Amino acid sequence: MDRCRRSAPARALTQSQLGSLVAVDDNHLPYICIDAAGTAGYQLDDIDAFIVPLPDKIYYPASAVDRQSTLLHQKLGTMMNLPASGDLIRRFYVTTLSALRRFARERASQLGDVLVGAIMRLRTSQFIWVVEYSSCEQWNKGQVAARAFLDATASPYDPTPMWLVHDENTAIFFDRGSSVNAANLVDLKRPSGTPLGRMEQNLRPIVPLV
Amino acid sequence: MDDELTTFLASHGAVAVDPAWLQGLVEDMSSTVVPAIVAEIQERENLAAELRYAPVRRAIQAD
Repeated sequence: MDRCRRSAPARALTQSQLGSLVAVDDNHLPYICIDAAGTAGYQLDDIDAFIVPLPDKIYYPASAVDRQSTLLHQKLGTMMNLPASGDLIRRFYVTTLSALRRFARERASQLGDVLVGAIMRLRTSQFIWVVEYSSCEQWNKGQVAARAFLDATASPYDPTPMWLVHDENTAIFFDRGSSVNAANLVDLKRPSGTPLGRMEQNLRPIVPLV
Repeated sequence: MDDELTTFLASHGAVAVDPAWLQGLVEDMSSTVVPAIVAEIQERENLAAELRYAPVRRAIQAD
């Protein structure tokens, strides 16, 4: 991915930071590199949409995460330390609970005992949407300001599909098992001056058949 | 929230989130985000149904 582009629109998605995509194109087998300059004959801007097959149990669509995470950023402004709208990059992806726990174990010293302990005790669905909020500066350093974990099996009618939202200092745990809206705020007591790193790999890499 | 997590959070000084903030979040999500999401899903389902029953056209390459 490119360095953060200054012309990124307010509350930009990470797709605005793409430099190129490797695509399988029947007319240019086996692979083609599609960039913004159009060296492949067409360019990134020519792609309007693409289809991503998701596992059966994911009922909360990506477009819902897009809308939900935008309003959540606005609402969290009074509760957490988040980048301003004009300097915000949002990245969202689906992952599994086991991948999230593996990430937490590997980054235990960075995340701190409270957050790691809570993630290990969190009883979520198998699939989780993760939203990462970064400023341009943090994006370039591979860091995030805050993360939200959403229930990928939630109904699109659910107004609060979040399991957990956290920034560098605090976390909010939403009680999804309760019939009334309830949430708990906890001080993460993380090591001071330690930034939150981006979760680079959300799914297990495909192992090629030999 | 399951008991093990609740106990763990309580042992680390967790406190209930301001009910007014939480209520505001739920109301804003319910009044703006959820209707937009549902409308978008309906729109896509309508498009999918339209495409499913539309006559298939295949591009014929002119030599």
